[in-house]
Amino acid sequence: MIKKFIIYFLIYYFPPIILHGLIILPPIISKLSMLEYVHNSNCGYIYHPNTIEEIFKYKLDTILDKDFDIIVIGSSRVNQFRKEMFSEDVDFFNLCHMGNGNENYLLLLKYIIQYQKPKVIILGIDQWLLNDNYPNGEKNDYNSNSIYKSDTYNYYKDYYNNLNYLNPGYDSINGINLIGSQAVTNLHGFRSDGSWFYGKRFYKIINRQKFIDEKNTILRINDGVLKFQFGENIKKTEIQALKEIIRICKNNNIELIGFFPPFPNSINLIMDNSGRYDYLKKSKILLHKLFKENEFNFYDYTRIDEFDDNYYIDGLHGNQNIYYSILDNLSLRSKDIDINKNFENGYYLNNSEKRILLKKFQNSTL
Amino acid sequence: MLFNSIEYFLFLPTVFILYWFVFKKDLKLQNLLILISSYFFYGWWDWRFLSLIFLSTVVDYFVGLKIYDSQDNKVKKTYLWISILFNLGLLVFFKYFNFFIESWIDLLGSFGYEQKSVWTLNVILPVGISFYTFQTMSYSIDIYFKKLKPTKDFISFAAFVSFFPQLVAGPIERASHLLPQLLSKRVFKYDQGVQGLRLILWGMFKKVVIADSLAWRVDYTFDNFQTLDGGVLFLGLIYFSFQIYCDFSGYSDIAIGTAKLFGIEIKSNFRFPYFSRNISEFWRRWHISLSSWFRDYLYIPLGGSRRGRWRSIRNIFIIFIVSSFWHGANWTFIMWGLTHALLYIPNFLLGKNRQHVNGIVGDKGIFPSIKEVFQIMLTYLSTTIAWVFFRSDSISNAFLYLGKLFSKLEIPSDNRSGIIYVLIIIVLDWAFRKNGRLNIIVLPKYRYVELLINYSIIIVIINMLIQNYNNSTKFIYFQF
Repeated sequence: MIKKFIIYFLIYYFPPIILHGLIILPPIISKLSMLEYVHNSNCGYIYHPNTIEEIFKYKLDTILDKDFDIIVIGSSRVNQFRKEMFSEDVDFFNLCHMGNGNENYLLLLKYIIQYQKPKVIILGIDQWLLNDNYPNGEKNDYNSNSIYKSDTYNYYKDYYNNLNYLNPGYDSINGINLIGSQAVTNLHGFRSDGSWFYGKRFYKIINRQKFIDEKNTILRINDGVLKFQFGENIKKTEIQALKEIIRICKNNNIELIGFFPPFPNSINLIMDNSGRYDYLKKSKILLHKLFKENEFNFYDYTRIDEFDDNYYIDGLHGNQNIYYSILDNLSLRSKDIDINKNFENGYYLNNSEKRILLKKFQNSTL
Repeated sequence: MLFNSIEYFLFLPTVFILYWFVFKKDLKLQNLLILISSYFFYGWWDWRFLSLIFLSTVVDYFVGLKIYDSQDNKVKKTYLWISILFNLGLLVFFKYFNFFIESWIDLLGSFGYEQKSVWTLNVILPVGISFYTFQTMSYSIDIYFKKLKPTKDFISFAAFVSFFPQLVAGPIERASHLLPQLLSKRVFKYDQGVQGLRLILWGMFKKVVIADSLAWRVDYTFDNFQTLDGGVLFLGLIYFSFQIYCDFSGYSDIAIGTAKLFGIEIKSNFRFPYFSRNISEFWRRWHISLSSWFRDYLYIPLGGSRRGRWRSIRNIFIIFIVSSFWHGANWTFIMWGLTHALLYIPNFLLGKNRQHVNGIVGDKGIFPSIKEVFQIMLTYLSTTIAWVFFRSDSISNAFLYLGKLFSKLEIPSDNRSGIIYVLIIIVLDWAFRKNGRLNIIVLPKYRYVELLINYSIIIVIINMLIQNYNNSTKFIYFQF
């Protein structure tokens, strides 16, 4: 009886388990070795696999592996802070794209202090987080959940796109390896310091006169939706989480610097004219007070007049010139922020670059 | 150890091979293997809590013998109370201690006496404690009421308490059903084994494909309910009703299927509850092992429905409140139980609680009658709305959720993607309903049909397991 049963099992259950396992395991193993390679690599790389969980893992594991002097926490609006912007002896890591709110950042901070105590944490606080009316439950917010779901197809895609990623010269620009499907296809991803390289996106902004409103920022402001939901009051849960972040930093002798990331001037103008973002003024005052009470500093870089719209990737994200100038400003106020005075803060999209973008790409230091 | 983990896929065949090939000639060794593997299975999660299972086992083993041996009714009763108090004591300490303290502090606070919570402890809830304590308690109670003779075989008794397929999330087995099977020689039966495999596959499908696919949609809805429209909230609620059903019944199916592989039958826990025509029928089809436990050991001893109308109503309230409290130390569960009691009582007063005891809806044809459709919809809607209390973080949030439920019933197309999972389970459950849960997978006429079905389901399950490998895929009922 039992032999018959085992034969039944071998015919009716075993083959798909084994065969499918054989197909699916190599991508998983490949993912693991990819991540291992990234962590052990001494040369530059751009890392962007198809699955967002891998990115989280990559960044969290980096925190586990190495101690840093300065860590940046925030959304995509802090992703232009780079290691090269600091002096050589400063160990820096950018934890951008790791959440969308102070509650997420609090969890991240708790994770960090389990393994290390950096001297400084720079916290980018997106303005809309403090709006009591945000999120407003638009379908885009619902969709955003789906990016956190990986699927098998993405595993295969990464696997086959990276079969040869270890071979020198393969999928690389100027010796810098492109690891992960997104990096290979779009030339964008995370640098070894955790910062973000926009890559192929520059193609799109080559002929622009001002920022490209890919995220429909102006439309959102006009309609008062999503990140630009109109609002009067401050969101208490965000403040609560922020207070906890401040408390933890204080107890661990970590200098916390908070800031509002910048918007393009035209966006600021539209928002000002609408007169329906009272929470912004209120939250600015409150954050100054909260940080001050704990001997920390908060800075409002919402408006940086010296950079016009050309310096913005889109309606939400400034380019590296702006972020270097923010760091420059911060270095005057904090002794632990030691910047690289020789950082080549080139304007990405000057005319010559526009003409020779491809060539420039090939020779980029990424 | 989770049923949907790689460890379990290695663990199960190993135990199976040892059980049927190495120890098949010796019943005691087979039971010892069940015991050791059950402790290993449980200890994989947290070995420290093995001592609780062991203690509960030892207490009820000796209590059972003492109750049986004693001639004096007072002594018997004393031993019975030892068992009840010990098991409930474990439950109260690990599950309800903080709840009682915090509720007391809240109560004082409401009268203006502010008190800092200094007495709460950081108590971890041992997985499955609500299940195995009820199982051991029923053993002592059955012996007290002379429904069962105690066993002197400690190993077999310990194997009964800790039998790994149903240790952490049921079904809650009765000693009178499971223990005799453990005490008698098992013979491997081909049909039973095949049925076991099919149930495991079906249970995995329900858990991994349906429940886990709905889980993040449900989380999203309940986490952001204050900013979502009524239509989205309503859909989220439907998703939750099927998530919890597929999660829990999926676990039960895997448990029953696994037990079958070892020649042991476990009683069914779900019988298509969402096809119930009234709330009484729902409770005869939902979490059967728990509701029958409370019926036999609480409702009937309290007098059941035989001592007048008011007393019956009181008993209904008691059974629903106690069983809701069994689910967890939170007022939301109690509110959920109360809601069900309020739904049940009109049914009881109208004398309809004994309707539809046998058979299932539409058992004479393919489709139900219009009246039955209406009854099913009404029952489903009322149980689903009650789920709001079960799933919400607090009672106030539950009421807020309910308040928003009927505002703006639009559902953005992006939010509808989960409906396919709900439809799949409705169609399959409907197709299987006549053969009963244990025979759900009818032997296909042609073998290649089964081959095709199995292969497809296995491939989908593997893919979904990988897809969800970073997300929490624990079974909901583990927390109880």
